[in-house]
Amino acid sequence: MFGIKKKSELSDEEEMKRFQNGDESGFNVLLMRHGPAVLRFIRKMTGADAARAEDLLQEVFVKVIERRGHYDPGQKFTTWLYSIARNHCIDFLRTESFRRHGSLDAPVSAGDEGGAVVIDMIRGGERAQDEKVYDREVRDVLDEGLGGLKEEFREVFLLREVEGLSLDEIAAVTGSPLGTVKSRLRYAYRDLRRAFTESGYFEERRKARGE
Amino acid sequence: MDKMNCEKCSELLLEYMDGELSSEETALVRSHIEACPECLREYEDYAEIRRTASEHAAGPRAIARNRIRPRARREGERLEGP
Repeated sequence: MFGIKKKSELSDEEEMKRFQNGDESGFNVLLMRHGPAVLRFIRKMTGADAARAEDLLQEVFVKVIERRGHYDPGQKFTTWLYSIARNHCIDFLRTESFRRHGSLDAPVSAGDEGGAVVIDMIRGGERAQDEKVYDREVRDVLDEGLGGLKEEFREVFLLREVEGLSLDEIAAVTGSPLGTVKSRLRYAYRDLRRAFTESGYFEERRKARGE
Repeated sequence: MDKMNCEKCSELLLEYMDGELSSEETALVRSHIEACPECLREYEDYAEIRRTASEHAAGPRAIARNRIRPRARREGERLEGP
């Protein structure tokens, strides 16, 4: 009404500005908007289990809090956010080799009050989803393929195909020239295609289509 | 532009899928794919990979809300200090 946006309709950049000015609700909106996608990015990027990925997500958003004074409202918020998330993933991968997960049953560290309950909820929720065996297998194939990609190919693929960033945004997030981003995406597809082929996935799909 | 070959076609395939090529390049890639079974297969496989990735994008939504926000708020308070 009267061209005035409701708070919930403010852009990411406007919400961040509110947060910079001390209004915590700006941060909450950004967390709600982008938390799930960043969590997914972290999980796929690092191969971390759900609990560890949540910890990483928390650390990323704590950095958003810590660095809010450095954010330039002229910059696209998601570019800034994914830069932080991406660098945090790289730091994590440097200290732990990819796919060396802790057990899902590992105890939740002390001080994470409510953490165990949340993890149970996540597990329960994942199981409760009406998920066909076929879909799970597809996800496994994709996860396997992603796990086998070089880190720089994996991050470009995830940012592009799962998180929907533009190639220009990915170039800004990764600090790489656009041409490099494009070639990394091509290599990611090439390597994923190989992994999908080796898993027999394409063959199955073609059979299913009657080819 | 050189006449389209499989190598060039493969290089342009993703941009073709995104509709980011010039009309001339688009026509060249399209006619190559129609005539070349290997490149057609590569195109179909890439489209399938893209489909699985986009379906994959549906993830758990409530997690961040339930756990991260309280932590972040506490952290914020700690940083602000008394």
